[in-house]
Amino acid sequence: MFDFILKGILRDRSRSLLPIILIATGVLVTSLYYSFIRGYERIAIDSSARFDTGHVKVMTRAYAEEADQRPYDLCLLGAEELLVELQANYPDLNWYERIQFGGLVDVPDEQGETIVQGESAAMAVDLSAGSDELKLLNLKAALREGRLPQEPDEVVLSTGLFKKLGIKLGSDLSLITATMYGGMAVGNFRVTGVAEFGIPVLDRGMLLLDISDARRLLDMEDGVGEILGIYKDNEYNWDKAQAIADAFTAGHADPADEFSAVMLPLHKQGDMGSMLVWMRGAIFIIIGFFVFIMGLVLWNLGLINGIRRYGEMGLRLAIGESAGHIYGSLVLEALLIGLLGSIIGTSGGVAFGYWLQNHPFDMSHYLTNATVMMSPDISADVNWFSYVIGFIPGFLATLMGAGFAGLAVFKRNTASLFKELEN
Amino acid sequence: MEKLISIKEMFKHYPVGTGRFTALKAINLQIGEGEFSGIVGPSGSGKTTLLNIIGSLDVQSEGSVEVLGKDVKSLTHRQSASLRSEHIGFIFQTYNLLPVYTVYENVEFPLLLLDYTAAQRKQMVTDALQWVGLIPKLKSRPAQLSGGECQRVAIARAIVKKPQIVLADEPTANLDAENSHHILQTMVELNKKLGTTFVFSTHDAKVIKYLRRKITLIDGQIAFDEEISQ
Repeated sequence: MFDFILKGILRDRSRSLLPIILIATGVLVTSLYYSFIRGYERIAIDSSARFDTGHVKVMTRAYAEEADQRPYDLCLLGAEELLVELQANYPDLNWYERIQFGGLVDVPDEQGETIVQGESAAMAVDLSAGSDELKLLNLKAALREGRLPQEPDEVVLSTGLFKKLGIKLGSDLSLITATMYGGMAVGNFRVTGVAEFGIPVLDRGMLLLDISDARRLLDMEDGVGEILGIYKDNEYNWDKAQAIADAFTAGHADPADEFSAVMLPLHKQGDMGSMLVWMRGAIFIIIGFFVFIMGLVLWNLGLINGIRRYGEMGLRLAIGESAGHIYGSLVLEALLIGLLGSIIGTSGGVAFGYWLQNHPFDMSHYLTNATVMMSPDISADVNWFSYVIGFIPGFLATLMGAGFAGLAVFKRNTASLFKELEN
Repeated sequence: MEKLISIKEMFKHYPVGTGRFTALKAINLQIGEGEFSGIVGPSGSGKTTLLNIIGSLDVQSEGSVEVLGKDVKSLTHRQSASLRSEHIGFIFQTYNLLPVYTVYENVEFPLLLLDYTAAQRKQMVTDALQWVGLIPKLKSRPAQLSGGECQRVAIARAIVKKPQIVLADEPTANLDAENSHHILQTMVELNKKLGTTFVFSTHDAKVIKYLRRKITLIDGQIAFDEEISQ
């Protein structure tokens, strides 16, 4: 009987071709959409973790409450000791000290008169030789001109700021800001390089300097704005991050001390959590929608097919095939069609996903004025779930469609078969 | 001669509005093994209704109908299907072949519902196609056959499982005189060779002249039941 059904499917294209095309298309779109969203999520997490939030971030409670303003006057003190503790207690993560602050860049002429001024967002990281930051921020690749700071009081500017100021490599500039105690701070720096991170919000106006220069400028000896923790395998695990953040905070939080250290996971910082929830929710909404629509379409196709094959069903009932057996064969047909369509769709979706994974497309055009810390190179992320996320719903939708449509065979009145089969 | 079909005081009513229409009235009929009989009569006389009941596709309203010793009214749907698939072959006016399958596969189909091995099926299909003279066409599709050939495939499909009864509803209605003659000749030979009981529903004179028993229905009642000597 299996051979008989298979031959029918293969030979009767109107029975199989349209459903297979429909299922394959739906499955392909679902698998690709999942891989794309996963890629988008991975890039969002990766960019955010490297440049802003870490997978977890340690700050003072007061700093955390106003973290979007980078209130380095509320910084952590005793950073060195805390860093040692973090490295010892959480060996699965690499830890990075950061100070982020705003300032006014002033470019003077030879007489010390201002030629041009501009606002900048300064990011202070460990730029010493052998620092993990060089790799984390991919600084060597990001460098477009010049070199990274090697001596004290050297800085790298982002392409946007460098262009805006209209200066040359080797030019001197002054960075005017405030110390962590609120006093005025002015530091003189030499521009040694120009970097492009591929993240529009950074490339517009960032000034990168060594953290020891920043500490000196901001009067933050042994202080740090934030300490970022990033998993060594670079895999962000929501639950694990939440667990270690809770454990750390429970061990350090002092309700009476707003400068006590707290740790926040990435998804509890800014809008990252809601963005991730939305992305994950969107996947399942799309899949649910796909199953529903495909189920309806396939149900209708099943009904149309039932009308087209009315004579065949009648004949089969007349010659003694039970309604249950006919129903079973219709479901088996649907399973074969669903299987074939799902295999084709999954293969296409995964293949396209892999292609997209290896050929990211540039969305910087759409992110020119974006404020999110995110790479504009969007790619897919194919994983084992990409293989099943379309396959199973495609299969279920086919089964559901045929299952409902096939019920009509039980309502067929055998008493009128002779008359029906004469037409 | 063993009685395969035994009908006693059988009525068939259909509801019409608040009343009912009686399609068959006080039918008493016995058909024995190996008969070549026909139910004849004008349109609306109840021929197909009677054939439906004999084929356990429908049940009577009153009276008793036994087919192969089974009371058709007491059978469940599954038991009725089983009775048809094992013991009754059907031939329809419009052949009703499955268009995507070959001649061989169309004839093989009823055997797939029964417990035959592939080798047994192959032998039975080959035999059936030989009886109807269609061995050269076994790989053809119905669309490649003439009307007469299609009806011969339908006959092969009906007799492939060697049923005890074959019910044929207007089997020559779509055929010309020559094809009708060939088809009926084939059925006569099968009746003699296999001992299969054939029951026709027809008002075609071409068929009637081949019958050995003619049961005439008029207004749902048996008006005449006559043996015909060939």
